[in-house]
Amino acid sequence: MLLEVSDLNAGYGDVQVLKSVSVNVREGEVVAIFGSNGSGKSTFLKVLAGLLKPWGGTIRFRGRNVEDLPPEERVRMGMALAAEGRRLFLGMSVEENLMMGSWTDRGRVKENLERVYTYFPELYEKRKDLAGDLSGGQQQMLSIGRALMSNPVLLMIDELSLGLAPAVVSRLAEILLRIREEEGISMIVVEQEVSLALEISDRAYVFDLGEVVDEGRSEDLLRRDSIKKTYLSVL
Amino acid sequence: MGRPEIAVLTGIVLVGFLPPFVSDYVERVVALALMLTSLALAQNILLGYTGYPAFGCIAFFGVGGYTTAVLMKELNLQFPLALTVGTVSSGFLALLIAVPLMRLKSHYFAITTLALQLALGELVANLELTGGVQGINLPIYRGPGGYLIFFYMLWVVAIVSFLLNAYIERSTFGYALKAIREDETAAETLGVNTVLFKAISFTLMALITGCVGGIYAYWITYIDPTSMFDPLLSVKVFVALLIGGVGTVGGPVVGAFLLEVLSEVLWGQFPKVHGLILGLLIVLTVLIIPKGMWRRR
Repeated sequence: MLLEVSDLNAGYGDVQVLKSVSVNVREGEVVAIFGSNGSGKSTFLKVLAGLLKPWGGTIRFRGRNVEDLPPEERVRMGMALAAEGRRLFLGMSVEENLMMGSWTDRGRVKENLERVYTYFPELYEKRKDLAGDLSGGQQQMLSIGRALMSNPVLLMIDELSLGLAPAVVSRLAEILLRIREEEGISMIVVEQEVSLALEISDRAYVFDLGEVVDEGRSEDLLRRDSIKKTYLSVL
Repeated sequence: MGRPEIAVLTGIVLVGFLPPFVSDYVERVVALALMLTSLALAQNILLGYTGYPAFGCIAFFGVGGYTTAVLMKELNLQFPLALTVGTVSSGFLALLIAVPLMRLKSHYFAITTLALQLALGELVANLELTGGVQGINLPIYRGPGGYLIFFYMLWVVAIVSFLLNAYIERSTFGYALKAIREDETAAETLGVNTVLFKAISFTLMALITGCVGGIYAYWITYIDPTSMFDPLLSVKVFVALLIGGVGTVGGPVVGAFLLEVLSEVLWGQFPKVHGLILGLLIVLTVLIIPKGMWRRR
């Protein structure tokens, strides 16, 4: 098992957001997490990346407990987060953004750049432009590309399709599947668009009010009536 | 360094050849401009590259100046040693408070540093060791070179500060700072140890500012809480940065020289409305060139 999260509790101030969450990711697996607003998906990724300290529970990554490690240590171990809202360095160029992604892997910036540019040729064309001047789709590519620059084994993507045109989203999905095929990177994709989430993933977890309320193989979930009714607006 | 930066550096170096050809008065104005240059470049590391405005940066000017003065007066230390200890103490203070202080951002951070400056001013005004409100008198420097020695010390500090800024502009270290400025959470997500880099940036600012304070203290031979923790000097540093261009290597130098010379001329010509004209200049800068004269690369 690549990632084993068990009994995770977390929150902000006095407000508990995650309640006893357990999630597993196997090597090479794409896991989707979906659920309505405020279900704790983004908080979950924040805790995984080390941006928020959990109240309790364990996170085992590559056989090592990481819940007390600082973010940079987790990046070094192979976790990478393409954060919610993309969080690009808007005043820096595309290439500078990417180079910052290799912060923990500085010796191989060149190889990493080349790799990312093969997946996202449009980033190469725009490499000198300011990140702030990119379109929404290109910014999302940059966010994912930047996360890939650290050579991760586990790529975590928060809100893949938010605010993007369907054509852009399907392109992104295609690229992600290609990355996974070529590099065997595992992924956790947090996504509100449930049909997309289930389409690109092997397994999925359904979050509701900070708890895992359902889980299973994506193809099974796609067929499940309760999922169809609640999330796919199929009557 | 690009061509414009090299031109500015050459300018600062050439200024060092001025003293034999100009009057004592001009020499003094240039020395003050060099001092403001260093202070602005120091603040530029923190505000320009890291995105943290230490509006009370002169707190460290005071700490450097007072430490130097007290050590010379009470322990009879030689100036070079006293200045070194003063500089290091200023940096050390910054390092101590950086971690808790830099959890605050933007104006909260700015106000807190200003509070620190005012509080330290009050403290030295009430301590016997620092001479209270009467301040400290230092012996007049009578060594080789006379007063020119202060000019050249400020000159060297300005050059070092400039080179440090130029290094930050291009180096990996600088990229970490800029990433923090652009989006601190994102920088953290990518594995940048933001706490450490913020602390280094803050400490570098304090080291330069403290060193300048120490030189200034011995230069003017008499220091008191009002002159060493002067909020107006903090304002001046920020105005110089504003005019020149925050987050650029050359901007702070241009801004500092322009502001110092201009305010000196205005002071001489229009003593009564000099503050008014400076205020107008700030307003015009913000309206016409909000990013300063020097454009960010």
